Amino acid sequence: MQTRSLTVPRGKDMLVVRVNRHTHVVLRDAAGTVRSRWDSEGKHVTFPVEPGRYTVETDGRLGALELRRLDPAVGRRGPLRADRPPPLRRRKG
Amino acid sequence: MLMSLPANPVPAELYRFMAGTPGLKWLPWYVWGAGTYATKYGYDTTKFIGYLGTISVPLLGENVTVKSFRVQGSVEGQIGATEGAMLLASLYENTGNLSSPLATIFVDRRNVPNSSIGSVYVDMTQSVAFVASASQHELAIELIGEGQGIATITGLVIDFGY
Repeated sequence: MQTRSLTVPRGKDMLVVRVNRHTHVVLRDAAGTVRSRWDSEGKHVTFPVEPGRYTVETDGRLGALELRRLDPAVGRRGPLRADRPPPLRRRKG
Repeated sequence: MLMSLPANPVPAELYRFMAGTPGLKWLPWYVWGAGTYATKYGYDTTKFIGYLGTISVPLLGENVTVKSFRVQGSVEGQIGATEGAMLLASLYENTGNLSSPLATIFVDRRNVPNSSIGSVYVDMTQSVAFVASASQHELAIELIGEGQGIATITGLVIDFGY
């Protein structure tokens, strides 16, 4: 089992994990609670995350961990008015 | 208890119709199944990102723990100069007039070569831990897609604890 810990700073909300030879990838928060689990052979896994401390673990080989920002058009998953349809999200550029 | 909300693959005839158009394409995914309705707005796809639909999630009983949200399917990566697909699925709770996301699953392969993905298949589970009551809350899944690749949702699963 390979594990790696990292801290997600403010301003980042996406963790990209590169992995291979695995059956699963698990993301745990600082309390050890499983936040997300990936159960496919895909080698490129994306976890939306909030700032904080996390641990990535897998039964395969961990590659690079990258912190990025979600596409602004799909990010900011804040509260919505429930009595209206979800707003349209403007494309970049 | 696991609740599975099946969603069908892209109807082939619809995809062919859309695939014949030049430039950026709206991914023609519709969502069907039990307790499901599909919505598509008449928006300009050159300006707005794709809203695929909203799926209502039946909530039975009081003080039900929503334990996890799972998405299964496949998402294509980039093939040559043709970008792949992005899929974003969020489980929302609605209290009063406000709804907030409880869990978000995001697969973005628009710029990831298909050859480096390893598998187009997706099986992602996000923990939730939210206590909901039918008298106070409503649940729904919002799906958003983007890109020119094909994405197929074969299952949306919510684990409830009673």
